[in-house]
Amino acid sequence: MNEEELRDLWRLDPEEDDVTVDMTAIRQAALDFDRTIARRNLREVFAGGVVVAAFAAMAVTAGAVPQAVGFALIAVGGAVVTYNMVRLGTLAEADPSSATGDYLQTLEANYRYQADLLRRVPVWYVGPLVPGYAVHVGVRLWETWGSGLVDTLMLAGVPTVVGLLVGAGVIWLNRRAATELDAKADALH
Amino acid sequence: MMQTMTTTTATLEAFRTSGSDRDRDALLRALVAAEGRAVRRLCRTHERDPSRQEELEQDVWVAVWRALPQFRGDASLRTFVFRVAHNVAARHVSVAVRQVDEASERVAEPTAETTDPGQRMDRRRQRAELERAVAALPLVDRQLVSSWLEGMSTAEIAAIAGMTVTNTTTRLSRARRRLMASLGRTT
Repeated sequence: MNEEELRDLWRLDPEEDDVTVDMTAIRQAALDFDRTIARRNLREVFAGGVVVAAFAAMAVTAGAVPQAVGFALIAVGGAVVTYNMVRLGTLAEADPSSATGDYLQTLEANYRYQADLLRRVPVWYVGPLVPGYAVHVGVRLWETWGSGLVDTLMLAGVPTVVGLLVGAGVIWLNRRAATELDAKADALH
Repeated sequence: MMQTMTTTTATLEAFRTSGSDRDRDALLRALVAAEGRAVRRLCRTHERDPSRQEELEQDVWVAVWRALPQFRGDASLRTFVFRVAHNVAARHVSVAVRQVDEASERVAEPTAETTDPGQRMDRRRQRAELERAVAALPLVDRQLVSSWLEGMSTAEIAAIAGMTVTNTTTRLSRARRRLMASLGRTT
């Protein structure tokens, strides 16, 4: 089969229907696309704001200074995490009307950057919350010291284990997501 | 074909002058009429699942609609549409991580209908084999070859891919050899 025959064969459509588009669906999908991006950023800032406000309120109303310090440090950690999410997570989207080579390069770079970011979650996401949480658990341990093993375990041990499990879970989930992003980048080759 | 090109040019001029959504819609409709089948063929080589093909096709036209205000006329509208289509399809492949092997597995085997001795059925079977061979190429090769099969010149393909004409010629030649070798094995 020569080249012209191959091209003719390629243009032999198995379906005879004309291609049409539903303009309402196109417009709605374009609108949804823009809204999704705007909402994603807004959601992150809102969630961060709730954490900061809640722990700041707990710091103000705390009965003792050490407790207040712990809550205040968590609030500061939350603010740092929110700032990091906005600063590190804002990426220029690859322009779909650019040349394919440039588009693929940008898309791959974005995937690799996001994967790297997710692998560094212990530093920029979990890390800023650790000092406040450590102070909080330390204060509980101090308060329950000498009041019996059961009280100490319930009031200081359980929060420590829960905190460690949540932190480890967050790190594990993000590492898994990073591996998926690497697979997406690899699929571009 | 000539009439379609005239319609596209006229709607482009109208959109450039007014910038209105109504003219943008009209331009998109004209582009779908002119390039819809080619975009559908391209989508079929990047997604084998028919329902997902429809989604991908819609994603392409949504991306074209969104990108139309950025069209500066430095390339033809056809090149512009194919750039967007190739890019959206590539993103689709990466997001779904639909690797070549997986895609190839889902290609429908010739049915009783396609093994009909009639010439039309035989052409359809050949067409399905060609599509499968194109879909099995690495992503960039797939894009070069599908543009070439659509009858584009090397210069047009280079403009879509963002490569030099020399580089495009070399890569396309290699990709075509792969395609022919693959077809040789299946036919």
